[in-house]
Amino acid sequence: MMHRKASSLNLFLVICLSSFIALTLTVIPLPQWVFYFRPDWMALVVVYWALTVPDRVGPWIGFAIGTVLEVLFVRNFGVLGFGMAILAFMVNRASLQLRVLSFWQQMLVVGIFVGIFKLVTGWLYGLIADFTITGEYWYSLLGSMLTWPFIFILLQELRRSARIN
Amino acid sequence: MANPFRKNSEWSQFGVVCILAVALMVMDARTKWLEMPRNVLAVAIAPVQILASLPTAIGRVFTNLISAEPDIKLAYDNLRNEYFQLKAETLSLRSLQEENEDLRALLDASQRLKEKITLAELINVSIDPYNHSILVGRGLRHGVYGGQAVIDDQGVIGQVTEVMPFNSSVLLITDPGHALPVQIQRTGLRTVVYGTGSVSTLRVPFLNQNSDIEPGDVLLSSGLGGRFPNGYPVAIITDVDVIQDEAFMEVSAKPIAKLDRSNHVLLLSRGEPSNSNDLRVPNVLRPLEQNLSNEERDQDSPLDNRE
Repeated sequence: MMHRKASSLNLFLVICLSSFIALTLTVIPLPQWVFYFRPDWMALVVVYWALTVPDRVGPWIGFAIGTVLEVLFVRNFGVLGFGMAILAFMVNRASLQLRVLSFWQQMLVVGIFVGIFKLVTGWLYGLIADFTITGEYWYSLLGSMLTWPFIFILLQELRRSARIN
Repeated sequence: MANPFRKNSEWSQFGVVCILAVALMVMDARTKWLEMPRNVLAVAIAPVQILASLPTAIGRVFTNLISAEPDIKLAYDNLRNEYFQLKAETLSLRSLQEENEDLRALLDASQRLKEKITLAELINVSIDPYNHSILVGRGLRHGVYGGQAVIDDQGVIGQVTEVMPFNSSVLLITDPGHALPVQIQRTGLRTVVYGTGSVSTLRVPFLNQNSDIEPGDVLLSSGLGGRFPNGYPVAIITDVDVIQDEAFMEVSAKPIAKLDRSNHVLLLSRGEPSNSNDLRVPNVLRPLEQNLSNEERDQDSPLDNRE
Protein backbone atom coordinates (compact mmCIF):
# COMPACT_ATOMS: atom_id res chain seq x y z
CA MET A 1 0.00 0.00 0.00
CA MET A 2 2.80 2.36 0.98
CA HIS A 3 4.72 1.52 -2.14
CA ARG A 4 1.70 2.25 -4.31
CA LYS A 5 1.28 5.69 -2.74
CA ALA A 6 4.90 6.69 -3.32
CA SER A 7 4.58 5.50 -6.87
CA SER A 8 1.50 7.71 -7.44
CA LEU A 9 3.35 10.76 -6.19
CA ASN A 10 6.27 9.88 -8.42
CA LEU A 11 3.93 9.44 -11.34
CA PHE A 12 2.38 12.84 -10.70
CA LEU A 13 5.78 14.54 -10.52
CA VAL A 14 7.05 12.79 -13.61
CA ILE A 15 3.95 13.70 -15.61
CA CYS A 16 4.31 17.32 -14.48
CA LEU A 17 7.97 17.36 -15.46
CA SER A 18 7.41 15.81 -18.89
CA SER A 19 4.44 18.11 -19.57
CA PHE A 20 6.47 21.14 -18.58
CA ILE A 21 9.25 20.19 -20.98
CA ALA A 22 6.73 19.44 -23.72
CA LEU A 23 4.97 22.79 -23.17
CA THR A 24 8.27 24.61 -23.44
CA LEU A 25 9.11 22.76 -26.64
CA THR A 26 5.66 23.68 -27.97
CA VAL A 27 6.20 27.43 -27.69
CA ILE A 28 9.93 27.60 -28.36
CA PRO A 29 10.56 29.71 -31.48
CA LEU A 30 11.55 27.68 -34.53
CA PRO A 31 12.85 28.75 -37.93
CA GLN A 32 10.21 29.12 -40.65
CA TRP A 33 11.07 25.98 -42.61
CA VAL A 34 10.49 23.56 -39.71
CA PHE A 35 7.54 25.52 -38.38
CA TYR A 36 4.86 23.28 -39.84
CA PHE A 37 6.74 20.11 -38.95
CA ARG A 38 6.86 20.92 -35.25
CA PRO A 39 5.73 17.70 -33.52
CA ASP A 40 2.70 17.77 -31.23
CA TRP A 41 4.86 17.31 -28.15
CA MET A 42 2.00 17.39 -25.69
CA ALA A 43 0.02 14.77 -27.61
CA LEU A 44 3.04 12.48 -27.69
CA VAL A 45 3.56 12.81 -23.95
CA VAL A 46 -0.11 11.97 -23.35
CA VAL A 47 0.18 8.96 -25.68
CA TYR A 48 3.22 7.70 -23.81
CA TRP A 49 1.68 7.87 -20.35
CA ALA A 50 -1.66 6.50 -21.50
CA LEU A 51 0.22 3.64 -23.13
CA THR A 52 2.53 2.66 -20.27
CA VAL A 53 0.31 3.36 -17.23
CA PRO A 54 -3.16 2.88 -18.72
CA ASP A 55 -4.83 2.17 -15.40
CA ARG A 56 -3.86 5.55 -13.95
CA VAL A 57 -3.46 7.93 -16.89
CA GLY A 58 -6.70 8.24 -18.80
CA PRO A 59 -9.13 10.81 -20.22
CA TRP A 60 -9.05 12.96 -17.07
CA ILE A 61 -5.33 13.63 -17.18
CA GLY A 62 -5.52 14.09 -20.93
CA PHE A 63 -8.26 16.65 -20.43
CA ALA A 64 -6.23 18.53 -17.79
CA ILE A 65 -3.15 18.64 -20.01
CA GLY A 66 -5.19 19.80 -22.98
CA THR A 67 -6.68 22.62 -20.91
CA VAL A 68 -3.25 23.83 -19.84
CA LEU A 69 -2.25 23.81 -23.50
CA GLU A 70 -5.26 25.98 -24.31
CA VAL A 71 -4.16 28.54 -21.73
CA LEU A 72 -0.73 28.59 -23.33
CA PHE A 73 -2.15 29.04 -26.84
CA VAL A 74 -4.84 31.51 -25.71
CA ARG A 75 -7.55 29.59 -27.57
CA ASN A 76 -11.10 28.48 -26.86
CA PHE A 77 -11.36 26.30 -23.78
CA GLY A 78 -12.46 22.71 -24.09
CA VAL A 79 -11.38 21.77 -27.60
CA LEU A 80 -7.87 20.51 -26.95
CA GLY A 81 -9.02 19.03 -23.63
CA PHE A 82 -11.64 17.05 -25.53
CA GLY A 83 -9.12 15.94 -28.14
CA MET A 84 -6.57 14.90 -25.53
CA ALA A 85 -9.23 12.98 -23.60
CA ILE A 86 -10.17 11.07 -26.75
CA LEU A 87 -6.50 10.44 -27.51
CA ALA A 88 -5.82 9.11 -24.01
CA PHE A 89 -8.92 6.95 -24.12
CA MET A 90 -8.04 5.42 -27.48
CA VAL A 91 -4.50 4.68 -26.40
CA ASN A 92 -5.78 3.20 -23.12
CA ARG A 93 -8.03 0.80 -25.00
CA ALA A 94 -5.30 -0.22 -27.41
CA SER A 95 -2.44 -0.19 -24.91
CA LEU A 96 -2.04 -3.98 -24.67
CA GLN A 97 -1.92 -4.39 -28.44
CA LEU A 98 0.31 -1.34 -28.90
CA ARG A 99 2.95 -2.61 -26.52
CA VAL A 100 3.69 -5.74 -28.50
CA LEU A 101 4.11 -3.92 -31.81
CA SER A 102 7.53 -3.29 -33.33
CA PHE A 103 9.01 0.20 -33.36
CA TRP A 104 7.91 0.93 -36.90
CA GLN A 105 4.40 -0.34 -36.42
CA GLN A 106 4.12 1.62 -33.19
CA MET A 107 5.24 4.76 -34.98
CA LEU A 108 2.54 4.29 -37.57
CA VAL A 109 -0.23 3.62 -35.06
CA VAL A 110 0.82 6.60 -32.93
CA GLY A 111 0.69 8.66 -36.11
CA ILE A 112 -2.87 7.48 -36.75
CA PHE A 113 -3.94 8.27 -33.18
CA VAL A 114 -2.39 11.73 -33.22
CA GLY A 115 -3.99 12.20 -36.65
CA ILE A 116 -7.43 11.44 -35.20
CA PHE A 117 -6.68 13.91 -32.40
CA LYS A 118 -5.78 16.60 -34.92
CA LEU A 119 -8.81 15.84 -37.05
CA VAL A 120 -11.22 16.10 -34.11
CA THR A 121 -9.69 19.32 -32.78
CA GLY A 122 -9.51 20.77 -36.29
CA TRP A 123 -13.20 20.08 -36.83
CA LEU A 124 -14.14 21.59 -33.49
CA TYR A 125 -12.09 24.71 -34.18
CA GLY A 126 -13.87 24.90 -37.51
CA LEU A 127 -17.18 24.86 -35.68
CA ILE A 128 -16.22 27.34 -32.97
CA ALA A 129 -13.66 29.65 -34.55
CA ASP A 130 -12.61 30.63 -38.05
CA PHE A 131 -10.54 27.63 -39.00
CA THR A 132 -10.20 25.33 -41.97
CA ILE A 133 -7.89 22.34 -42.17
CA THR A 134 -5.22 22.88 -44.81
CA GLY A 135 -2.45 20.67 -46.15
CA GLU A 136 0.12 22.28 -43.87
CA TYR A 137 -1.99 21.30 -40.87
CA TRP A 138 -0.97 17.66 -41.37
CA TYR A 139 2.78 18.25 -41.72
CA SER A 140 3.22 18.14 -37.96
CA LEU A 141 2.02 14.53 -38.08
CA LEU A 142 5.24 13.59 -39.86
CA GLY A 143 7.26 15.41 -37.19
CA SER A 144 5.32 13.64 -34.45
CA MET A 145 5.83 10.21 -35.97
CA LEU A 146 9.55 10.79 -36.49
CA THR A 147 10.11 12.02 -32.93
CA TRP A 148 7.97 9.32 -31.30
CA PRO A 149 10.78 6.71 -30.91
CA PHE A 150 13.06 9.25 -29.24
CA ILE A 151 10.35 10.44 -26.89
CA PHE A 152 9.49 6.83 -26.09
CA ILE A 153 13.09 6.00 -25.17
CA LEU A 154 13.59 9.20 -23.16
CA LEU A 155 10.36 8.84 -21.19
CA GLN A 156 11.07 5.13 -20.66
CA GLU A 157 14.32 6.14 -18.96
CA LEU A 158 12.48 8.74 -16.90
CA ARG A 159 9.83 6.24 -15.89
CA ARG A 160 12.44 3.64 -14.86
CA SER A 161 14.37 6.11 -12.75
CA ALA A 162 11.12 7.18 -11.05
CA ARG A 163 10.29 3.48 -10.44
CA ILE A 164 6.80 3.61 -11.93
CA ASN A 165 5.28 0.47 -13.29
CA MET B 1 -12.31 -4.57 -9.40
CA ALA B 2 -13.94 -7.13 -11.66
CA ASN B 3 -12.97 -6.83 -15.26
CA PRO B 4 -16.35 -6.18 -16.93
CA PHE B 5 -17.22 -3.67 -14.27
CA ARG B 6 -13.95 -1.81 -14.83
CA LYS B 7 -14.57 -1.55 -18.53
CA ASN B 8 -17.93 -0.05 -17.81
CA SER B 9 -16.51 2.58 -15.51
CA GLU B 10 -13.86 3.44 -18.10
CA TRP B 11 -16.55 4.28 -20.61
CA SER B 12 -18.58 6.27 -18.13
CA GLN B 13 -15.50 8.24 -17.09
CA PHE B 14 -14.79 9.00 -20.71
CA GLY B 15 -18.37 10.12 -21.14
CA VAL B 16 -18.14 12.46 -18.17
CA VAL B 17 -14.95 14.02 -19.51
CA CYS B 18 -16.55 14.54 -22.92
CA ILE B 19 -19.58 16.24 -21.40
CA LEU B 20 -17.31 18.44 -19.30
CA ALA B 21 -15.29 19.41 -22.37
CA VAL B 22 -18.38 20.32 -24.37
CA ALA B 23 -19.71 22.34 -21.41
CA LEU B 24 -16.40 24.22 -21.27
CA MET B 25 -16.52 24.93 -25.00
CA VAL B 26 -20.02 26.35 -24.80
CA MET B 27 -19.24 28.33 -21.66
CA ASP B 28 -16.10 29.84 -23.20
CA ALA B 29 -17.90 30.71 -26.41
CA ARG B 30 -20.96 32.28 -24.77
CA THR B 31 -19.83 33.75 -21.45
CA LYS B 32 -16.88 35.48 -19.84
CA TRP B 33 -16.80 33.30 -16.72
CA LEU B 34 -13.63 31.52 -17.72
CA GLU B 35 -11.49 34.66 -17.90
CA MET B 36 -10.49 34.41 -14.25
CA PRO B 37 -9.39 30.74 -14.22
CA ARG B 38 -7.58 31.36 -17.48
CA ASN B 39 -5.67 34.25 -15.94
CA VAL B 40 -4.73 32.22 -12.88
CA LEU B 41 -3.48 29.35 -15.02
CA ALA B 42 -1.64 31.76 -17.29
CA VAL B 43 0.36 33.03 -14.33
CA ALA B 44 1.05 29.45 -13.27
CA ILE B 45 2.55 28.53 -16.63
CA ALA B 46 4.45 31.80 -17.10
CA PRO B 47 7.77 29.95 -16.44
CA VAL B 48 7.17 28.01 -19.64
CA GLN B 49 7.10 31.23 -21.64
CA ILE B 50 10.23 32.50 -19.93
CA LEU B 51 12.07 29.25 -20.52
CA ALA B 52 10.99 29.18 -24.15
CA SER B 53 12.29 32.67 -24.81
CA LEU B 54 15.59 31.85 -23.11
CA PRO B 55 17.44 30.56 -26.22
CA THR B 56 16.63 33.77 -28.11
CA ALA B 57 17.69 35.88 -25.13
CA ILE B 58 20.96 33.95 -24.70
CA GLY B 59 21.61 34.23 -28.42
CA ARG B 60 21.13 37.98 -28.19
CA VAL B 61 23.57 38.24 -25.27
CA PHE B 62 26.18 36.28 -27.22
CA THR B 63 25.79 38.38 -30.35
CA ASN B 64 26.22 41.44 -28.17
CA LEU B 65 29.35 39.97 -26.62
CA ILE B 66 30.86 38.93 -29.90
CA SER B 67 29.96 41.97 -31.97
CA ALA B 68 33.06 44.04 -32.51
CA GLU B 69 33.59 47.57 -31.30
CA PRO B 70 33.51 49.21 -34.75
CA ASP B 71 30.00 47.83 -35.14
CA ILE B 72 28.91 49.46 -31.95
CA LYS B 73 30.54 52.69 -33.00
CA LEU B 74 28.75 52.51 -36.32
CA ALA B 75 25.44 51.74 -34.65
CA TYR B 76 26.01 54.61 -32.25
CA ASP B 77 26.72 57.02 -35.08
CA ASN B 78 23.64 55.88 -36.94
CA LEU B 79 21.47 56.27 -33.89
CA ARG B 80 22.88 59.72 -33.17
CA ASN B 81 22.23 60.85 -36.70
CA GLU B 82 18.74 59.49 -36.52
CA TYR B 83 18.23 61.17 -33.16
CA PHE B 84 19.15 64.59 -34.46
CA GLN B 85 17.08 64.12 -37.56
CA LEU B 86 14.06 63.13 -35.49
CA LYS B 87 14.70 65.97 -33.10
CA ALA B 88 14.67 68.43 -35.96
CA GLU B 89 11.46 66.94 -37.28
CA THR B 90 9.88 67.22 -33.86
CA LEU B 91 10.68 70.92 -33.79
CA SER B 92 8.67 71.56 -36.87
CA LEU B 93 6.02 69.20 -35.57
CA ARG B 94 5.44 71.40 -32.54
CA SER B 95 4.61 74.43 -34.65
CA LEU B 96 2.53 72.33 -37.01
CA GLN B 97 0.58 70.97 -34.09
CA GLU B 98 -0.17 74.43 -32.80
CA GLU B 99 -1.19 75.54 -36.24
CA ASN B 100 -3.40 72.48 -36.55
CA GLU B 101 -5.05 73.18 -33.24
CA ASP B 102 -5.72 76.78 -34.27
CA LEU B 103 -7.19 75.65 -37.55
CA ARG B 104 -9.37 73.09 -35.83
CA ALA B 105 -10.54 75.75 -33.41
CA LEU B 106 -11.41 77.97 -36.37
CA LEU B 107 -13.36 75.13 -37.94
CA ASP B 108 -15.07 74.39 -34.64
CA ALA B 109 -13.92 70.77 -34.97
CA SER B 110 -13.21 68.64 -31.92
CA GLN B 111 -9.62 68.36 -30.76
CA ARG B 112 -7.57 65.43 -31.81
CA LEU B 113 -6.85 63.06 -28.94
CA LYS B 114 -3.28 62.42 -28.00
CA GLU B 115 -2.37 58.81 -27.33
CA LYS B 116 -0.30 57.51 -24.47
CA ILE B 117 2.39 55.09 -25.57
CA THR B 118 3.59 52.00 -23.69
CA LEU B 119 6.56 49.97 -24.87
CA ALA B 120 6.15 46.19 -24.79
CA GLU B 121 8.48 43.34 -25.57
CA LEU B 122 7.51 40.48 -27.84
CA ILE B 123 7.29 37.11 -26.11
CA ASN B 124 5.91 34.73 -28.66
CA VAL B 125 4.86 34.81 -32.30
CA SER B 126 2.33 32.46 -33.81
CA ILE B 127 2.10 32.71 -37.58
CA ASP B 128 -0.10 29.73 -38.28
CA PRO B 129 -2.12 30.71 -41.35
CA TYR B 130 -5.41 30.88 -39.49
CA ASN B 131 -4.24 32.62 -36.36
CA HIS B 132 -1.79 35.47 -36.80
CA SER B 133 -1.08 36.71 -33.33
CA ILE B 134 1.78 37.73 -31.10
CA LEU B 135 2.18 37.66 -27.35
CA VAL B 136 3.57 40.81 -25.74
CA GLY B 137 4.97 41.24 -22.24
CA ARG B 138 2.45 43.75 -20.90
CA GLY B 139 -0.83 42.85 -19.29
CA LEU B 140 -3.52 43.87 -16.84
CA ARG B 141 -0.87 44.93 -14.35
CA HIS B 142 0.42 47.52 -16.80
CA GLY B 143 -3.01 48.86 -17.69
CA VAL B 144 -3.45 47.10 -21.02
CA TYR B 145 -7.06 46.74 -22.14
CA GLY B 146 -8.79 44.77 -24.88
CA GLY B 147 -9.07 46.52 -28.22
CA GLN B 148 -5.98 48.64 -27.69
CA ALA B 149 -4.14 49.55 -30.89
CA VAL B 150 -0.60 48.21 -31.32
CA ILE B 151 2.03 49.79 -33.58
CA ASP B 152 5.76 49.62 -34.14
CA ASP B 153 8.11 52.36 -35.28
CA GLN B 154 6.86 52.01 -38.88
CA GLY B 155 3.14 51.40 -38.76
CA VAL B 156 0.12 49.60 -37.39
CA ILE B 157 0.65 46.01 -36.18
CA GLY B 158 -2.72 44.99 -34.77
CA GLN B 159 -4.95 45.15 -31.74
CA VAL B 160 -5.03 43.58 -28.29
CA THR B 161 -7.53 40.73 -28.15
CA GLU B 162 -6.84 38.97 -24.88
CA VAL B 163 -5.42 40.51 -21.71
CA MET B 164 -3.76 38.33 -19.08
CA PRO B 165 -2.10 39.53 -15.87
CA PHE B 166 1.43 39.79 -17.24
CA ASN B 167 1.06 39.52 -20.96
CA SER B 168 -1.53 39.97 -23.63
CA SER B 169 -2.15 38.58 -27.06
CA VAL B 170 -2.30 40.85 -30.09
CA LEU B 171 -4.15 39.99 -33.29
CA LEU B 172 -2.09 41.05 -36.30
CA ILE B 173 -3.66 43.02 -39.15
CA THR B 174 -2.77 40.12 -41.47
CA ASP B 175 -4.99 37.65 -39.61
CA PRO B 176 -7.71 36.52 -42.03
CA GLY B 177 -10.37 37.59 -39.54
CA HIS B 178 -9.07 41.12 -39.12
CA ALA B 179 -10.42 44.25 -40.81
CA LEU B 180 -9.14 47.79 -40.40
CA PRO B 181 -10.72 51.03 -41.64
CA VAL B 182 -8.21 53.05 -43.65
CA GLN B 183 -7.91 56.10 -45.84
CA ILE B 184 -5.72 56.52 -48.90
CA GLN B 185 -3.21 59.23 -48.15
CA ARG B 186 -3.11 60.69 -51.67
CA THR B 187 -6.83 60.93 -52.32
CA GLY B 188 -8.52 60.64 -48.94
CA LEU B 189 -10.64 57.74 -50.21
CA ARG B 190 -11.94 55.67 -47.31
CA THR B 191 -12.00 51.88 -47.40
CA VAL B 192 -11.31 48.79 -45.33
CA VAL B 193 -8.25 46.55 -45.34
CA TYR B 194 -8.57 42.82 -44.63
CA GLY B 195 -5.94 40.29 -43.56
CA THR B 196 -5.21 37.31 -45.78
CA GLY B 197 -3.31 34.84 -43.62
CA SER B 198 0.01 35.65 -45.26
CA VAL B 199 2.35 37.98 -43.37
CA SER B 200 3.20 40.07 -46.40
CA THR B 201 -0.20 40.68 -48.01
CA LEU B 202 -3.43 42.44 -47.19
CA ARG B 203 -6.43 42.79 -49.44
CA VAL B 204 -8.59 45.80 -50.11
CA PRO B 205 -11.77 44.24 -51.45
CA PHE B 206 -14.59 46.74 -51.91
CA LEU B 207 -13.20 49.32 -54.29
CA ASN B 208 -15.23 50.33 -57.32
CA GLN B 209 -13.79 49.95 -60.80
CA ASN B 210 -13.46 53.71 -61.10
CA SER B 211 -11.74 54.32 -57.75
CA ASP B 212 -8.61 56.41 -57.92
CA ILE B 213 -5.97 54.07 -56.57
CA GLU B 214 -2.59 52.96 -57.86
CA PRO B 215 0.39 50.90 -56.71
CA GLY B 216 2.52 52.85 -54.27
CA ASP B 217 -0.38 54.59 -52.56
CA VAL B 218 -0.05 54.68 -48.78
CA LEU B 219 -2.98 53.63 -46.61
CA LEU B 220 -3.38 55.38 -43.26
CA SER B 221 -5.67 54.31 -40.46
CA SER B 222 -8.80 56.45 -40.75
CA GLY B 223 -9.86 56.41 -37.12
CA LEU B 224 -13.36 55.30 -38.01
CA GLY B 225 -14.75 52.66 -35.70
CA GLY B 226 -12.83 54.13 -32.82
CA ARG B 227 -10.39 51.26 -32.37
CA PHE B 228 -7.37 52.68 -34.15
CA PRO B 229 -6.41 56.35 -33.87
CA ASN B 230 -6.26 58.04 -37.26
CA GLY B 231 -3.20 58.87 -39.29
CA TYR B 232 -0.95 55.89 -38.64
CA PRO B 233 0.54 54.21 -41.72
CA VAL B 234 -0.89 50.75 -42.37
CA ALA B 235 0.07 49.48 -45.81
CA ILE B 236 1.34 50.29 -49.28
CA ILE B 237 -0.69 49.26 -52.33
CA THR B 238 1.26 46.72 -54.35
CA ASP B 239 -1.17 45.51 -56.97
CA VAL B 240 -4.27 46.87 -58.63
CA ASP B 241 -6.10 44.48 -60.95
CA VAL B 242 -9.14 45.53 -62.91
CA ILE B 243 -11.11 42.48 -63.93
CA GLN B 244 -13.72 42.90 -66.63
CA ASP B 245 -17.35 42.38 -65.63
CA GLU B 246 -16.52 42.37 -61.93
CA ALA B 247 -18.07 44.96 -59.66
CA PHE B 248 -14.91 45.55 -57.64
CA MET B 249 -11.21 45.79 -58.32
CA GLU B 250 -8.77 43.29 -56.94
CA VAL B 251 -6.34 45.30 -54.86
CA SER B 252 -3.59 43.93 -52.65
CA ALA B 253 -1.31 45.76 -50.27
CA LYS B 254 1.80 45.15 -48.22
CA PRO B 255 1.88 46.00 -44.49
CA ILE B 256 4.33 48.76 -43.59
CA ALA B 257 5.01 47.60 -40.03
CA LYS B 258 7.61 44.89 -39.49
CA LEU B 259 5.01 42.35 -38.43
CA ASP B 260 7.30 39.36 -38.11
CA ARG B 261 10.57 41.10 -37.40
CA SER B 262 10.24 43.69 -34.65
CA ASN B 263 11.28 42.84 -31.09
CA HIS B 264 9.39 45.67 -29.46
CA VAL B 265 5.95 47.07 -30.08
CA LEU B 266 4.12 50.16 -28.84
CA LEU B 267 0.69 50.03 -27.25
CA LEU B 268 -1.40 53.14 -27.80
CA SER B 269 -3.88 54.06 -25.14
CA ARG B 270 -6.38 56.85 -25.33
CA GLY B 271 -5.85 59.95 -23.24
CA GLU B 272 -7.15 60.29 -19.71
CA PRO B 273 -10.90 59.77 -19.54
CA SER B 274 -11.66 63.02 -17.67
CA ASN B 275 -10.11 65.12 -20.41
CA SER B 276 -11.35 63.03 -23.27
CA ASN B 277 -14.89 63.49 -22.01
CA ASP B 278 -14.42 67.20 -22.47
CA LEU B 279 -13.18 66.64 -25.96
CA ARG B 280 -15.95 64.31 -26.99
CA VAL B 281 -18.54 67.07 -26.92
CA PRO B 282 -20.49 66.46 -30.11
CA ASN B 283 -20.44 69.20 -32.71
CA VAL B 284 -24.20 69.61 -32.32
CA LEU B 285 -23.62 71.23 -28.95
CA ARG B 286 -21.21 73.82 -30.31
CA PRO B 287 -23.85 76.50 -31.01
CA LEU B 288 -24.95 76.19 -27.39
CA GLU B 289 -21.43 76.82 -26.26
CA GLN B 290 -21.35 80.09 -28.10
CA ASN B 291 -23.81 81.37 -25.56
CA LEU B 292 -21.32 80.76 -22.83
CA SER B 293 -19.24 83.69 -21.79
CA ASN B 294 -15.81 84.06 -23.33
CA GLU B 295 -14.14 83.66 -19.98
CA GLU B 296 -15.42 80.17 -19.55
CA ARG B 297 -14.20 79.12 -22.95
CA ASP B 298 -10.80 80.52 -22.17
CA GLN B 299 -10.69 78.42 -19.05
CA ASP B 300 -11.60 75.33 -20.98
CA SER B 301 -9.15 75.61 -23.80
CA PRO B 302 -5.88 75.50 -21.84
CA LEU B 303 -7.08 72.25 -20.33
CA ASP B 304 -7.54 70.81 -23.78
CA ASN B 305 -4.16 71.94 -24.92
CA ARG B 306 -2.42 70.45 -21.97
CA GLU B 307 -3.83 67.02 -22.66
